[in-house]
Amino acid sequence: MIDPAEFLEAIEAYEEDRLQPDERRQFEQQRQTDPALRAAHTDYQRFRHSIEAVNIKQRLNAIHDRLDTAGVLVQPAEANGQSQQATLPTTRPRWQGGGKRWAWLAAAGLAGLVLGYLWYSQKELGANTRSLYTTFYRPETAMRGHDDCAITHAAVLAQYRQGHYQAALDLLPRVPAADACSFYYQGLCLLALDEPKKATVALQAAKQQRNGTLRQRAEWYLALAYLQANDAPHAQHELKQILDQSGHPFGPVAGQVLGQLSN
Amino acid sequence: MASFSSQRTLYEALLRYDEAAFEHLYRLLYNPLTGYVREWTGYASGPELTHDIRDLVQETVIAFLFALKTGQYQWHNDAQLTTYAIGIGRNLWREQQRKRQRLLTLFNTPPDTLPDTDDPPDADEVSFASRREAVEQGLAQLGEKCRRAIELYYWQKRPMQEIALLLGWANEAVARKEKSLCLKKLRAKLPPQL
Repeated sequence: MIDPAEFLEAIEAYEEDRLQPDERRQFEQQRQTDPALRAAHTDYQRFRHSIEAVNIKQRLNAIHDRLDTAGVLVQPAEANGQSQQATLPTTRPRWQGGGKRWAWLAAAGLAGLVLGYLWYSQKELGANTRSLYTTFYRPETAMRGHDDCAITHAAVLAQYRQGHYQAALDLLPRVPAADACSFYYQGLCLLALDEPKKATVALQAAKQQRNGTLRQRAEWYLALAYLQANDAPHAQHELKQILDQSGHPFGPVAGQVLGQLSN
Repeated sequence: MASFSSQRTLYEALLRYDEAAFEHLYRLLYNPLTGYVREWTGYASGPELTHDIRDLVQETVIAFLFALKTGQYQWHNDAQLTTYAIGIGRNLWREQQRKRQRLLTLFNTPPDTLPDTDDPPDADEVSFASRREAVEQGLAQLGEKCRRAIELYYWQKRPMQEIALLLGWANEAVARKEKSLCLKKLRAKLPPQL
């Protein structure tokens, strides 16, 4: 009988095939009859996979970057036209369908120029992206026109306003629903705590809802989170989206940042 | 690019966390999942979608590896690994969209009119990313030696004897005991529901 205090060692030995045949049988028998061992085993499998997944995620990111640089990955806009491209006859006379060929070449050239421009922009902008964040970032001070957050998140807001970002973040799980206000303040706290990647996830979720004021603020802080992460292309995309909306309260400042990014 | 002559060789290489197998699977999944997401989003494009697709493919690989490792997916002679993995990817995407939609509904609907019949999300599939992030944070809070022990053992698959040598522990048995303590410390740093 395996003692619960020894579960971890026994489970790991079982998973790694380090048990003798009779020990293995004993483990499997006990697992069938002992719900505590069963639960501990399931928990171990998830926990171990989560540890390994941290490394797997890093490796997959490296694989993605490598394949992307090599041009192996199809871009989203191309994904559905690909099979048609592949079936075009290669022996078609030059005069036949020449317009399409030229259009394709022109599109490829244009795509090349755009990609080249993006690559160049990213390289050039990388150095000053983070400094732009430092210049333009201000902690959120007040949010008029959206009293819901102030009511449901009063304690969170109080901590945030005093600059106690970790304390504010810790309070968020106690707020009843995982609503847009929670995502928004989670994003702001993470941004203040210099966790831009996590901040972007939370702010993207906050950006999904319809309330104008909160959405607009989430858009601005999302752009800042990308700047903080040195991710100029995404920051530009967000800033352009802000500029495209007439009357957006962050339109003027977004224009300034975009101008400096472009320079 | 390494080639895998059969589903069996790919399956075995994935179980070993072989780098070439990861890349092979990544290539196999990227286009079908991109097509699926584009169809779902009405052929939208943009950097956010590119980012979403990248995440989806990676989460699919991670979830698929979990299914392989834990025996949820069992090898059989007619196995089509990619078909199964694409199924996981589609489920993940649908689940993610359902959650987003639910969030919108929650925000835009007065609380007393919300339906209470929504099925709970499948915790196994949806919480891979949150568990991983929690572990990442927990690892960062561990002492240097503990973190190194866990990385050497679970990431680099180094033998205990070598870890003992590298980290200055007397022998393999001591190293195993220390590593278990580190693992318990890490587990204690995670929220219980994870």
